[in-house]
Amino acid sequence: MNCPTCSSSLETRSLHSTQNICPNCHQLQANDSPLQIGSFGELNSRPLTIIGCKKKVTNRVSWFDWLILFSDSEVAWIKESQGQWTLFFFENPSEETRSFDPFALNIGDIFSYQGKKFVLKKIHLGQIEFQNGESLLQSQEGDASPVYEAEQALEENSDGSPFILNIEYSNGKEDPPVISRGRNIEFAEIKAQNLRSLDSGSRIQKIICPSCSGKFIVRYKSFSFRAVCNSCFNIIDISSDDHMSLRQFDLKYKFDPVIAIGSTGKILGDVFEVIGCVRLIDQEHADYETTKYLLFSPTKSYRWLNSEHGLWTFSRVVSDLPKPLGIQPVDYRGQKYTYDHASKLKLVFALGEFFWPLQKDEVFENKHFISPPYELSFEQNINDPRIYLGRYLNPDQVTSAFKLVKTLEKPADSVPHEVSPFHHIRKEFLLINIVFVVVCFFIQLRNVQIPATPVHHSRFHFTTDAEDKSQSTEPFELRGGPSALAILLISPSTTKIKFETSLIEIRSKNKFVFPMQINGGQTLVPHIPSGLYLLNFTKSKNEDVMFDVVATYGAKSWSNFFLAVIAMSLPSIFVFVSDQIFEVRRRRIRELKKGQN
Amino acid sequence: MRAHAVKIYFILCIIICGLLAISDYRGFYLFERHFLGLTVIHDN
Repeated sequence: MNCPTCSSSLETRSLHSTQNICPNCHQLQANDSPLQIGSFGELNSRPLTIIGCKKKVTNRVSWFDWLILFSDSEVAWIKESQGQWTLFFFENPSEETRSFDPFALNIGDIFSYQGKKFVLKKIHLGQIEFQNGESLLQSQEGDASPVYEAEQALEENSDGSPFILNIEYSNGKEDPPVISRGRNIEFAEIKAQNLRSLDSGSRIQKIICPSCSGKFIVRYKSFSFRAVCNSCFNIIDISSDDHMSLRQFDLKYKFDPVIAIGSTGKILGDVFEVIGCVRLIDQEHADYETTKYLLFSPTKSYRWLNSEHGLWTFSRVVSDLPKPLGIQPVDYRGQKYTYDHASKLKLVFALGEFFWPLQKDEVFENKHFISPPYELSFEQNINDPRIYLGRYLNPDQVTSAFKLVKTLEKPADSVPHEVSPFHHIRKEFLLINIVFVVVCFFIQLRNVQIPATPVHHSRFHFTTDAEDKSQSTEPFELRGGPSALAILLISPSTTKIKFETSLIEIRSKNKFVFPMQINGGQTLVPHIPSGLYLLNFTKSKNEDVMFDVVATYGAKSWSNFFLAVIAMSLPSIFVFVSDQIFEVRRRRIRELKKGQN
Repeated sequence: MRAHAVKIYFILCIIICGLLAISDYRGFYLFERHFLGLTVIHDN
């Protein structure tokens, strides 16, 4: 059939559709979305086509509902909420869906639906701002219907992709609701083609400030609720067409963002556009200021890039987490996050546009937990509590992402969720250390098993005669050297008399002089070359003594093994200690920095 | 940097193992040499 207004071809593709609004002659379009009616793609090898669109708004959020038709005639829908994508399938009406009554529920309540536990997350009145294409239910622009959003209880999902229930009373609360069950998806999952061009020319809107009549730019008007006039710094409500002027920021406030609003950058593989930035001051340390850049990608949603005196954190909102109890460590996707600090920041200045009703002097209370290089921040905002998962970026990463000319401030010291430079090598060093200690042990074991060769055994008798002070052994041959010579002086008496001992190589007359003691244990003389030797003993005390001299060549000692173990362990110990020092400094550094400011 | 540090440490450990094997074989014991109070007199 053809459109009665513009006469263009108007095909109704789904048998379930009850109305079809011609997208050609309808003026309002989803300008900020990459999707459009006629976009097609596939999900798990099932071809799909976009056949309808509704933009819905509440006083806090706006989103698009995209009706999709699979090639096997199944109809589903995708909720595009500020760059977050959720794919929903309609639940077949059953006794349970008909009798399902969420009206008694409050936000946070847990209820059972088809054997699964869900938590009621949001209740809002979604008003249709505009609609295009096919629709399953008859509706008009301006219609509002209560929507209940619930998420599968955390204890039932561990993979971070919980089921989401959308319960919508499109025909008023008297009729059974339309229940859809879905999950969050990445935009890339639907492999969409025939997309709308999102170049800035088609979506950027110039708005005239109601206060100063200056013009300023809004980049994603469909999703933004507030914008700040860059001439008079008034906060403008852009959620409606009235463009009301709200509070004004201090005109004297000096702030020049290092990353310009409107610039794009590729961070951790995804491209984002800077659409706003806010300046916050610490409520306890008024001089301690931080900057947060709001980034947006139509397919990846919002991200925050926080700058805090050389510390950069790239964060996004996550939903699959419980609120922490006090300062207990938090487990999130197999990582243990330990409590780091709490912050109370007041918004004092802003530039650009924002997806929430931004207010001057708005206070953000956060609890921060870290597992370097990641950080979890639990925002305590009463209206809209959010949990952010952040990742530390070093200033060079930010500079290269946005191709900045200006050199960014470097962190003065170890920063709260920077990974210690010793953290990763710690495990590798320990492993190498253990392996080589074992290797050394086996080398040593093999060495000590080779028996030493007996080279000399004789008996000496020193009398009290003053002239009988020095005696020598018969010459003995040492072969296969150099090696260590072990000498033992054994006497049946308990005397501890000392001798100056000389090991003399007869041919070269080289002498090795060292002290020895009777019954003083084995003396190991290291590194003695081959040759013909004799031992000379000169007693230190005039005493009558008889003792045996036993010498073995090729003797072994464990001392080098222990020295080797110490030498190998020193770098490992250094890495471990440095890592610990880094962690101790990390805990103190933020407070120290605040003190300095 | 991290890979370099690990590589250097690995090589250092190999060298230490080699030194241990050679010094044991040649009877060169640093500890004993130091604490024995050994004096070497070359006559030539």
